[in-house]
Amino acid sequence: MTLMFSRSLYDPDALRETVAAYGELATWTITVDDHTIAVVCTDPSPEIPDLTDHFANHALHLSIANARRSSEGNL
Amino acid sequence: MSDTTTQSPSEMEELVYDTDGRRVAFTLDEELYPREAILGAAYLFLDRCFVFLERPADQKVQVRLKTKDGASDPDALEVLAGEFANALLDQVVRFRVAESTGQLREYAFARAFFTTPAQSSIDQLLAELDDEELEEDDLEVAVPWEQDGGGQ
Repeated sequence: MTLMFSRSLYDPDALRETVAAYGELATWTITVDDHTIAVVCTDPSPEIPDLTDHFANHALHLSIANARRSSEGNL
Repeated sequence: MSDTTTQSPSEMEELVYDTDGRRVAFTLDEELYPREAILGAAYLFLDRCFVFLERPADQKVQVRLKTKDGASDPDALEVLAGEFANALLDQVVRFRVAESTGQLREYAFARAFFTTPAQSSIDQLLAELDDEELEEDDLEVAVPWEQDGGGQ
């Protein structure tokens, strides 16, 4: 399954962190280009329903936290 | 004659929700809802539901909310979308206020942190009292009685 994230909404570093955090639950491959971040999920753990949704939520949480941190740093 | 146009409630733009099983989706225009406000509202809903953001076109953000408990009640999904819209409006107001008062805040911070007063407020008050004491005393209370010729 491939998840496509817009770079204008999601932070690539946040997605790399999320891949590291969810590394034991599936095999994740991340590809970053100018506009999108593609994440391929293979061999997901059958014990966790909605794994990719949890993954996307975690990535969004980190993306927003990173964006806020960087905007606070610019003050 | 004034040229004004009024918009009836039915003509006003409303959020259009698409529900599909456990999901509800709607598209927002960034000219009306700044990206920071959309992210702020999304952040508040991360613990309640799965939130996924997509960019279907320039200046457009599609928000997809999916229930965590597996329920697929269309009414509950519409309520969820409505609550998200309310949170979004709240975030838009916060963003606009922060934007309009940003310069004032920066000025206040700069003044508080980067100006060093010559004296502390207590020192300043004591100096003012000293100055007052040194001013001419009409009643000459400060002149000792002996020097004033009162002892002769």
